[in-house]
Amino acid sequence: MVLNVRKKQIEAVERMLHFHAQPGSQGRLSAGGGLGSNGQTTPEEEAYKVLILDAFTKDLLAPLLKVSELRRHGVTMHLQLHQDRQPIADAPAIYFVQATAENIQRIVADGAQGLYDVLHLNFVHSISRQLMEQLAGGLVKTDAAQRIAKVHDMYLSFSTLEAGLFCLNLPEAYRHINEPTASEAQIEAVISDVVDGLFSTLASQSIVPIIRCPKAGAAQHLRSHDHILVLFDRNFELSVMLQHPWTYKPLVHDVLGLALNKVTVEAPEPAGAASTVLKPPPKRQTFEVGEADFFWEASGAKPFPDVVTDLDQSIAKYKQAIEDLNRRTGADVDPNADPNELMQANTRGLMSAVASLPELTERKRTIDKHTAMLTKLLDCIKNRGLDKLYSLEDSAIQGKCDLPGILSVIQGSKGTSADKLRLAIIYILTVDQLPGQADADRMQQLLEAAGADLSAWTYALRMRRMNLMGRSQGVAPVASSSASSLEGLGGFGSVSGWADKAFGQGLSSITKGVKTLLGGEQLTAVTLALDTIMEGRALPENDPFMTFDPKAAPGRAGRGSGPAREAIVFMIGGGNYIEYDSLQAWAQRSQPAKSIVYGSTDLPTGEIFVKQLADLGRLTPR
Amino acid sequence: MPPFGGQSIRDKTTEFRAIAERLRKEQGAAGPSGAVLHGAQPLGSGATQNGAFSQQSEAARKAARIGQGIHSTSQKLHKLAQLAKRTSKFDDPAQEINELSTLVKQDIQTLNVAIADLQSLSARTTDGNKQSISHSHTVVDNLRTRLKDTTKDFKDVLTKRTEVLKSNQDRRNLFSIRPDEGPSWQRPSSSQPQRQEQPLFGEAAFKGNMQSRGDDDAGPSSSERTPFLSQSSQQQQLQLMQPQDSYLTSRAEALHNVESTITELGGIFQQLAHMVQEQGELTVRIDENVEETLANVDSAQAQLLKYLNSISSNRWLIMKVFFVMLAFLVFFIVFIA
Repeated sequence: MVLNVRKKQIEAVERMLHFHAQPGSQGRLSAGGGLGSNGQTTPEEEAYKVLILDAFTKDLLAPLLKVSELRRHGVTMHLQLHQDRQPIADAPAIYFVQATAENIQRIVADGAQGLYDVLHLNFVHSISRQLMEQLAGGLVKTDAAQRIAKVHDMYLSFSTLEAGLFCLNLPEAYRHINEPTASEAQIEAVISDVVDGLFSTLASQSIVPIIRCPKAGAAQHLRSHDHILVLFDRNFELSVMLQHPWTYKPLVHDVLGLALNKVTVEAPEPAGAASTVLKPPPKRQTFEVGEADFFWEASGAKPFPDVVTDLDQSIAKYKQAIEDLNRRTGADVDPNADPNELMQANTRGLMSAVASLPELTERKRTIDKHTAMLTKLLDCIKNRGLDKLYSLEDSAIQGKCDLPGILSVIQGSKGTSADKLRLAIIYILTVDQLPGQADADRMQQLLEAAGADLSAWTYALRMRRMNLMGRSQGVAPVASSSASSLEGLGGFGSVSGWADKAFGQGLSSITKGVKTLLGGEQLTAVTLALDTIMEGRALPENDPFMTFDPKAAPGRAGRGSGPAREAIVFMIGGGNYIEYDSLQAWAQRSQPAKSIVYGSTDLPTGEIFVKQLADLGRLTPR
Repeated sequence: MPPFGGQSIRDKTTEFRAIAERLRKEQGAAGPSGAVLHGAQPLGSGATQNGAFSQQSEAARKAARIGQGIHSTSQKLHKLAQLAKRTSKFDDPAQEINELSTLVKQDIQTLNVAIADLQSLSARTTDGNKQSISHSHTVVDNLRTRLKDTTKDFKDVLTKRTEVLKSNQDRRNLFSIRPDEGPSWQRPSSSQPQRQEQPLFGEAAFKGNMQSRGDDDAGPSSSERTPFLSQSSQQQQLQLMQPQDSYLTSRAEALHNVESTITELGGIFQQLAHMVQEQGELTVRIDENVEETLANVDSAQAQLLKYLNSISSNRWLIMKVFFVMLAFLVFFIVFIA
């Protein structure tokens, strides 16, 4: 069994949309015109219904199901719980909401108003006894209790972005957990949210894993056989959160702000159209990426120049397909052919052409989307000098620090202040010997001159001095093999043609600087730690990870039982795509192949994470 | 593992009902009139649902019926597809297929009418709110999409059937020669009766056929081969030929039928496709409209600002004009009058 959080979640949601009908009689309103695929459909399931969501579940469902898929399951409308809603006669309503007092009040009000005939309540995690009393009380008082058909706890409070990636949508968790001024209750609340989400994930997978976690930090608070759940605190390694990425998915996430599988790119403004007083809001394009996107899946983990090459190839392939199509339906008639046969062949060709058109337009749309995204990325790389930043940070993380280079970049004109700050903090976090007071002061001055918010810097510096975070001991990052980086150089020549046309000049000058980075696959500290755990390499006496086995007798810590095949890695305090990619690459490379699910409280971009650090810096008493 | 990962979902309906029941009793003690009211309504989930379904309005009932109709049609279609897939030449279920496809065709037509009916019904009951209207619109659209898909399947099945028929015919042509399609070299050799030249499964003819394609000069020589067949065997063939002929005509008829059905279906299909076209929401995300709303609000604000600007400049213009006119008025009154 391969772990697939996404599939499981979609299944659970679909079940909810069919009123939790028994699996035996489950049939779909199959719009796909089920020849054969259509099972027994009871009249009850033929009902058309409305779906009521709150903000949290809207975010949860958005990457999972499209509107058309909802339609297929008989949902005619999806409405916000706290919107003004109007009564809809003869339609049952499915509520999929969080169990909060506010939501409960609203549901009771809906029942009292009689907006819908039948209400099916589904709570995204679970409803407490107290809230249940409140719900029942309110409904009985308004004489609407009989409208409630079913009440379910869904245990689904996590949002899955890919088969092996989920997040709990708990923003700024890192800040909340590490806040020095937070009260015990606040931290408890955050932790219990995390526990709820994590429990949901495990419950929906129906697995009971062995829990491993490092011996310090917030992860230890989460006490809760084939599977391993590895818990990390974000302080285990911070630098990866700040690092500038060079592969496609992380770039889109970090630079373009990928969130819930959705990217919003501002279209380039037409030059010279700047009106004096009123500037129209910039036109935004929203793209969706995900499993359905063939290019995203194929090239997501490749470095930027390779992605450009891939796109080039995709365009060539698309053109080839169009040509084929034209040829098949075209006018070049063989004069010797039997006219009857010819007509038949032509008709058939036309039919297949018509059949393949939607697929081709879809492909065209995908290619256009990625062209727009890559163009925007290239702009950013050029303007912010991301290639230089990446190479400096990468070498710093690998222990080959280049202080003069870093200083010159901080002094330089390229890059935002946040970029420079990130570079400086990575330097502080990864350098073996803390720089002397003079060096630190100089760096601070340069940062100040660049207009950076210094609280994040001082926070990182202080944390490093207190040795609370930074490089985890014992797992030194391993430099990628030089063989693979040489291999990566092979396909480099063909970038030029299309790329120059599409992106104008300058690609080659940019990529020149990072040629050496091609194929440089990063092994993050988390990956290395996971390697140790899953291969069962650590000796029992110096195992830095604690083990909790829920199946073992209480009070006695069990030992991990050798190599495991499947693991859920959970990062408390935020994760990002660099780590995810690194884990997936490692899982595929290892023999036998492993199945890794990566999750975290949220997926902040580097910039947002720096802001969290800055907030922490301000809150920490000096 | 259950297909839905079912263990993770917990049904709390009974708990809810228990609490509601208890609270009702408490409330009932306080006010007896309420208790009577509550008591009249049965609680079990099944009863509630049945009640709900019996309360459904006409439109909903119609929609459900159409949905069921589409479902049963697609089941018939499934059967038809299985029949049509049979390529065997000897037990061709032509009769059955014809009946079934007429049935399906009628079904689709009635469903089409029913959907149009439903649409006009929901259009008539414009009792008010937008969400209710959009709900019924979506229901109609959804039904239409499903019917369109079913029609498409039907068309595919029929196309498949035509192909099977055609390939059967081709195969037959390969091994036998029909009167109207005989090789050209046989026509001029009128010295022999026509039937004699057409052995049904004769290898000779097959060979001759091949040869005649090879080179035309071989024609006369190969035509002499036909007399190899003895007179008696020719008689037999003649008898064999008779039912074969009627069989062929029935095949041709079947083919025509199927083809005409496809054309008709093409009409319906196109009509539906046209109507469904606007429903191009294949890739719309759930959170899309929220952001659209936001963008719309932004642009609305921009428009308002623009309007404000134009208004204020207009105001200035009006003032100026007014001042000029006033000045003229004063001028006229003072100097002319």
